[in-house]
Parts: sequence; C-alpha cells; structure tokens
Amino acid sequence: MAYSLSLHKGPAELELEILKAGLCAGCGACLGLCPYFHVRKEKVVLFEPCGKTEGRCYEICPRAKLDLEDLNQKVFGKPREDFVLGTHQAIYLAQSASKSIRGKAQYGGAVTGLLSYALDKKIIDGAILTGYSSDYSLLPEPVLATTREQILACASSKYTSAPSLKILDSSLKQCKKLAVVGRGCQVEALRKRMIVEPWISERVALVIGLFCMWALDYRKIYSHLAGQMDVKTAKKFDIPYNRFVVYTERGKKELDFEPIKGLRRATCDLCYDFTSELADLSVGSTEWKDDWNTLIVRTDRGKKLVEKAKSGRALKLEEFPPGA
Amino acid sequence: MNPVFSKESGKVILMMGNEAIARGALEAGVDFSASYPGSPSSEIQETLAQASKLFGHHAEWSVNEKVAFEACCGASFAGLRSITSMKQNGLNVVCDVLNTINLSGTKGGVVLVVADDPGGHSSTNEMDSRLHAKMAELPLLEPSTPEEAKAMVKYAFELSERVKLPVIIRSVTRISHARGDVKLGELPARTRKPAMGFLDRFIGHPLLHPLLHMRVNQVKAEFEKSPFNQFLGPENAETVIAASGPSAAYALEAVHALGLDDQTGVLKIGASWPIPEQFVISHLAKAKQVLVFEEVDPFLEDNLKVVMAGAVLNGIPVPKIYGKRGGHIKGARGAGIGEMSPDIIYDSLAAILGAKRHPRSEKFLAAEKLAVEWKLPGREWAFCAGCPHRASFWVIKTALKEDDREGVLIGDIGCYSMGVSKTGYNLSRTLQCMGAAIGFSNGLGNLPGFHQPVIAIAGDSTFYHSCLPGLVNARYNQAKMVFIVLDNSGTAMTGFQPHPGTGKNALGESVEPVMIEKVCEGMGIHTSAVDPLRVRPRRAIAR
Ligand SMILES: Cc1cc2nc3c(=O)[nH]c(=O)nc-3n(C[C@H](O)[C@H](O)[C@H](O)COP(=O)(O)OP(=O)(O)OC[C@H]3O[C@@H](n4cnc5c(N)ncnc54)[C@H](O)[C@@H]3O)c2cc1C
Ligand code: SF4
Repeated sequence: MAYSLSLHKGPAELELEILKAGLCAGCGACLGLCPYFHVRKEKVVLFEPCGKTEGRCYEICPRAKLDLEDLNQKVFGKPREDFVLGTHQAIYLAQSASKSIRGKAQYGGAVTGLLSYALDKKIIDGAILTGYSSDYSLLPEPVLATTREQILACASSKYTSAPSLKILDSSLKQCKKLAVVGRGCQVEALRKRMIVEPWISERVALVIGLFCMWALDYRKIYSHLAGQMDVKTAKKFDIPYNRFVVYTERGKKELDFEPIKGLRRATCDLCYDFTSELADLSVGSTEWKDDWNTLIVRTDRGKKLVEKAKSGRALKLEEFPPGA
Repeated sequence: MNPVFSKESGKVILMMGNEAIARGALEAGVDFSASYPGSPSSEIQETLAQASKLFGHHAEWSVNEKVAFEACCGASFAGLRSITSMKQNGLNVVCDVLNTINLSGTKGGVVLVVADDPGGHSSTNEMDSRLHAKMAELPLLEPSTPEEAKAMVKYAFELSERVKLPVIIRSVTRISHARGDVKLGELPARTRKPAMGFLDRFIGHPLLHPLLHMRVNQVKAEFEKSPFNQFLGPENAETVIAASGPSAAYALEAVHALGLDDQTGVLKIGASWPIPEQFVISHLAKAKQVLVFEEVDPFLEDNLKVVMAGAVLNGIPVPKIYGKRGGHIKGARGAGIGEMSPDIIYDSLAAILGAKRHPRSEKFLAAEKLAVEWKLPGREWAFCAGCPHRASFWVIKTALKEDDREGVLIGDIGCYSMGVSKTGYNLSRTLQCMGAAIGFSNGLGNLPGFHQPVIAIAGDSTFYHSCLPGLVNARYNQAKMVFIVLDNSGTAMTGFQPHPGTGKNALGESVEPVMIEKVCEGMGIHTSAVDPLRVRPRRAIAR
C-alpha cells in the first residue's frame, strides 16, 4: 500500500538522525511496522536497512518532525492555545472508587479504574498497557489487556521507556475498540500514525496519556539498582518530588535521587509535552494527596467516559485545585 | 582405480599437478605422508591418503603444518621417506623447526611441497615462500609443468638422502591445479625398515652451521649440472629470458608466438636455490639484456643480479637485467603483485624488445566479444546453503546490534573468513592467520578501560590447528572474551577434510574424536555447546 508521507525519509535516516543520535524515546511505534526494527532492553535498533527511501517508520517517529500546532488542530479541531496544559475542557482530582485497584495502582488508580470501567461497559475491547517481562527483572513489557484481571495486573508506573506501541499493529488485528495508555511521546506517535492511516483512529476508542517529565534508561537504572539492592525484590517505584522510592517485599527503601536523575534518557530533555497534550484524557499525580490523581479532560469522548464512570460509581472526582 | 595409481609405467595420462606430485612420491616409494589441508595444495595429501590403502604407506591429516612436518622428520629419523605438503601460509607455521632441522640434518628423504597462491585466489596473502628456503638454507626446486613436478619429487627424495637435508619444492596454483600429460614411471616396492641407530641423533645447534654450509655447497655443485636447469635457444642470443616455475612455460610459448626463437634464449631455472652460479654466469655473460619472469617476488631476479655483480669483479661483462625491481615486468596491479601470465610476458617482450604480437584470430576475437557481452552476474562470497555459519553470524549480529556496548567480533581464517564480507554482515574486524583471533583477543580482553565486549571466533579445524595456546593464555591471564568455535564438522574451506573432532582419520577410518567442549572444559573454561539454528540471540552474549 502506498501511504501519503510528508517527510520523505526512511529507515536509514531514522537510524542516523534518531537512533544513533540518541534521540529515540523508546515509544515503540516503529517496532511493529516491519521486522527490521528490533528492541532489546529498551534499545531500539535498525537491524538491516530494508532499502526503501521513505517509510512510515520515519514519518511517525515522535522525535522526527513534530508539529504540535498542526496535530492539535487535527485532534481537537482548534488551535493550540494553552501552552502549559494543552487543549482541555476540565481538570479534576480523580480516584478509582475501587480499593483493590487503588491498592495496586501508582496513585489513585484513575487509569486502571477508567480502563476497567470502559471494558465492563464495552466502550473498549482491549488496551495496550505495560507489564513486566518474565525474563528480565524490572524490564517493562507491552501487554494487550483484554480482561479486567490483565488490566489490573498492569497497574503501576514503570519508570523506563516501555516501547509498548510495538504491539499496536498486532493489537489492532484483535480489537475493534482499542484503548492505548502511553507517555506523551507515545501519544504523539499514535496521533502521527493516525494521520498516515486514518482508519486507525476509527479503531482506537480511547487514548489515555500519562504525565511524564522523563523516563529512565533501563540498562543504566538496572545496573545502578543492582549495585544497591536485590532487584528481584522490588515491587514498585515512585518518584515523589525529587525523591526515589522503591517498595520491596520488606517495605520502603529510599535511594539518593541525584544520581538516579542522571540516568534519564537524554532525549527526554528535549520533550515539551509533559501532560500528553494529544490524549483524550491525561493523568498524573497530585501534590496534595498520594492516593489521588490529576485528571485532565481534553476531548468530548474523554469527557463522556469520565462522566459515565462517575455516575456509575467507578470514579470519584473532586475539584482542582482542591478547596478552590 | 584412480589412474594416478596405475602400474603401467611408460603410459602417459592427464594429471592434475597435485596428483603428479603425489605420483612422484609413490614412484619414490614414499613411506610416510602427513599434511594439513590448504588450497592449492590439498589434493596432494588427498591423493596420498587414497593411495595409502594400495601402497601401505602411512598417511594422515595432522592438526597443523608444523606437526605434519615434524612427523615427517620423525619418519626420516628412522630412515623412512616422507613427504608433507602445504600452502604458503602453512610454511610459516613450520618455519620454527625448519631453522633447526637444517642444522641437525635428517636421514630418510624428507620432501616439503609448498603450493603458493600467487594472486591469493584462496589465501589471505600471496607471499613467496621461496624466501623460506633461502632463510633456512635448504635446497629449492621449482617445477614448470606437472610432469616436471613429478620428476622433481623423485629427485628431491634422492637429494635429501644424499645431503641429509629436507628439500623444498615450490609449486604454485597454476602447477598444482593445472593438468598436463604425465608419463608414468615404475612403482617400486617399499622395502625400508624403520630403525634409529645409536648414532642417529638430530640436534639443532649453531655449532653445526658450518656443516650446513658444506651441505649447501654440495647441493650447489649438483645444481650446476641439474637437468632441471636448462638453456634453450641459440647459445649466443643477445636477449635471454630467465624464468622459473610456470613462467618458464609461458616464456617459451611467448618467444615462439612472437617469432623470436632464433634470437632469444630461455634460461629455465628449476633447481633454483642455492643458485647455480657458474651455470648462470656461463649463459648470461654473453647476453646483452636479460628479462626475468617468475611468480610474485623478484627472487630469481635478485639471485641473478647478485651472481652477476660478483662476476663483474672477475671482469665478466654483465647484461642489463630487466625485472620487477625496475618495474619493467608487471601485471595490472604493479610489479611483484599477482600472478604472472602469458599476457604479461607478451607485453613485456613487446615493450622491451619492440616485438609485435600476432593479432588474434577472427574466431578468437568473436568468442572473446561474446564472452564479454554475456555479462555474467558477479557472484558474492557466500556461505554454502545449509552451513551453520549463516545462523551463527546472524545470531552474533543480532546480539551485537541489540547490545549497546559496541562489541567487536575478532575474526579468523576458515569459511568464516567470509565474516568480513556481506554474507557475514561485515562483522569480522580481523582476518589474519589461523588462530590469530584468540591471540588478538588476549590483548583486547585485557585492556584496562576498554569496555567493548570481545568475541573471538575460530572454526573447528582451526581450533585444533592453532587456538590451544591462545586459549590457555586467555584462561591463565584472565582475558575477558567470548570464544566461539564455529563447528561445521570438517576442514570445510579446503574440501571437508577430517580433523580430530570428526571421529574419522585421513583414511576414512573411525577414531575416537577429540571433543572441542571437553578440551575447553579441561582447561577450566565455562563451555556450552549450542545449535546456532536454535539459539536465541538475546541469550548469546552474557551481559
Ligand atoms: C515514565 C513515567 C514518568 C512519569 N512522570 C510523571 C511525572 O513527572 N509527574 C506526574 O505527575 N506523573 C508522572 N507519571 C505518571 C504517574 O506515574 C502515573 O502513571 C499516573 O499518575 C497514573 O496513575 P494511576 O494511579 O492512575 O496509575 P495506574 O492505575 O497504576 O495505571 C498506570 C498505567 O500506566 C501504564 N504504564 C506504566 N508504566 C508505563 C510506561 N513506562 N509507559 C507507558 N505506560 C505505562 C500501565 O500499563 C498502567 O495502565 C509518569 C509515568 C511514567 C510511566
Ligand atoms: S522514538 Fe519511537 S518511533 Fe522514534 S525511533 Fe524511538 S521507538 Fe522508534
């Protein structure tokens, strides 16, 4: 199939300008397109140039040309005016109503709660999420979750750049109403892909973006942690403001934040999409309550889901900022 | 039966040069043969191994050329006749013992055939191994046809026994792999009984250097009258072509084709080291100009010049000598590079003598045009279909790509030499001599501040040939590397000869295999055997 591509570049340029330049954000978008891209321990490599001079791989890469203005226009039908929070309709403090979800989730479990609800109500029939690899400690692995249990199993943040879009194409073969949860770069890549292949927008029912300042380099953080603890016992991580906390079987362990900060992907410093501006809904932490989330409602379908989930008692909402 | 083994003496049959060499050994009643395969020499030992069942001599594929030659010397110490054959690189492996056995001398005839590969069709170099003969001060013979190769082998055994030195025969691809008429000689019964007498001692010592010189002079005296050294053409020719090896045959052809027969002499030197000085002077003193043709280095040319420089002191006139040194005789890639060919000889004669070559026939030109226009597609080097090396290189490539430490693959010699090319994804960073990869990796694996993973490779046959000391060293000095033995169950590149791991010997008999894994484990090295077609690349390199 011929695609209408605007950048007229291909795998060779992707390798030279993005991969070898250390700009890859590890979103995974190029990985599912053809067998020539490989990823191992979150490092994406072009295994062999396919010989094409232009391709979707370059076109959709969030680190290739990214015109947020244009994308904003295409996603929301209006210009990008709020340069801090992006186009939005409302902001709330949010929390999943389910205790068991909150117990497993990163903060308030808004993401897991909303996904669960949407699956129950058949608004979605599957979600691209991030679990852990069974082969390597702490290595995130893309998961297509099609049951509540699978969604719950993927709860909690993996602070490295899980390239979960790797399974986009295979997931689209299975699902007609797919949800995608991703960091800003991943949502950008997804939207760029939808421009090249509009049919995909009809098959993606929900895009939840995560707030993201930066992701850590898996190989670096792994060896850093391995030097300080038994990584196999780590269950969950948190990065509250300027701290790094590991939850293990035997409780909480706080590590020196400064050296860890240095292990982030260099490419993240170039990103200006902290709140995942192109998502339907964006979710992050709050500075007030550990078991709540900040929820930004951007699109109409996002708004509809949030309202339904609220009235269906799956989601609790409070004013943002609290007490305003 | 292989016609090479025919008893019908006097019959003329078409033989490959290497077969003619083997036949020569049989006609000399050879008792023992040991070699390591290497193009273009391999068919010599293959033929002798095949012959062993009929003739009863010992024939083996040894683990390397040095062991093979030493085994032959062992047979010689007991009074038997032995022959070894190898390619030019192999002679370097033998070099150490060559430079002490010359002092100690030998007993039964020992013949060392080295088949050079000018142009490097199947080698990493095109070195001229004649220089080894000069360095070790050993007699050197250079056949110019398969027929002459056979004759020289027979003569070499006799000479070796007369002067108590190994004799080197230098073949080249165009002798070893050419075919020519060979007249069969008698096949004598082998009657020698091996024994080492009380005085049979073979001690290499500098004290014996004068003895070596005496023997060399004895050889020189023989070479002055050797039938392998001939002057052909008019005695008083002003122009003389001096040539050795196949170049002598090319030269005769060229002289004839250019119609220069009545004005040009050809000095064919077959017994070339030590150079027969008087013979040379007697023929060159009358010439005005001399053109020297030979394969690769200006070996004969230098020797002639030295001889004639000495002659000047005795008031003998010296001709102009055109050769490679002055750049007068050269192929497309320059003087002293690549194979000699009839065309180079035609062109040099035309340039130096102004001779004109007869135009080619219409028929030839038409055929040539057709062949050129055909434009056969170029063929890349490639691993044979089904070879496990394909999978191995893919696995290594994948592992290196997915690893982020810029690991390096240190390559070695064998089929997997092709790892430097596309078929091996251009992965190999080195290509030198057998066993060099493990050696280089002993350095790379022990560099403070060098964090790139080191992968050394070797083939199964190369493993036995020359990897063991390097491996012991790596273990002893704790060099960090992954050493991968690419085992395709045979000495594949040279024609799938057996080796110690295959469980077969040169005669095809079953023997207890020497297992690579066991050898490594015995050294205390963590070893695992994996099928490259099944291995998961991500597991290939331990992080
Ligand atoms: C790398 C990273 C950096 C972040 N940085 C910030 C920040 O600076 N400030 C802030 O307020 N919030 C940040 N977040 C978001 C925060 O950690 C929570 O994911 C978010 O608040 C949702 O919380 P929750 O309780 O609803 O999560 P949950 O209900 O536990 O759901 C989290 C979801 O995120 C998915 N997920 C987990 N890891 C990844 C990943 N690496 N990539 C894509 N999806 C993933 C899971 O599949 C799961 O569905 C970051 C998240 C990530 C992954
Ligand atoms: S940022 Fe995403 S699309 Fe771009 S190279 Fe990395 S994984 Fe591929």
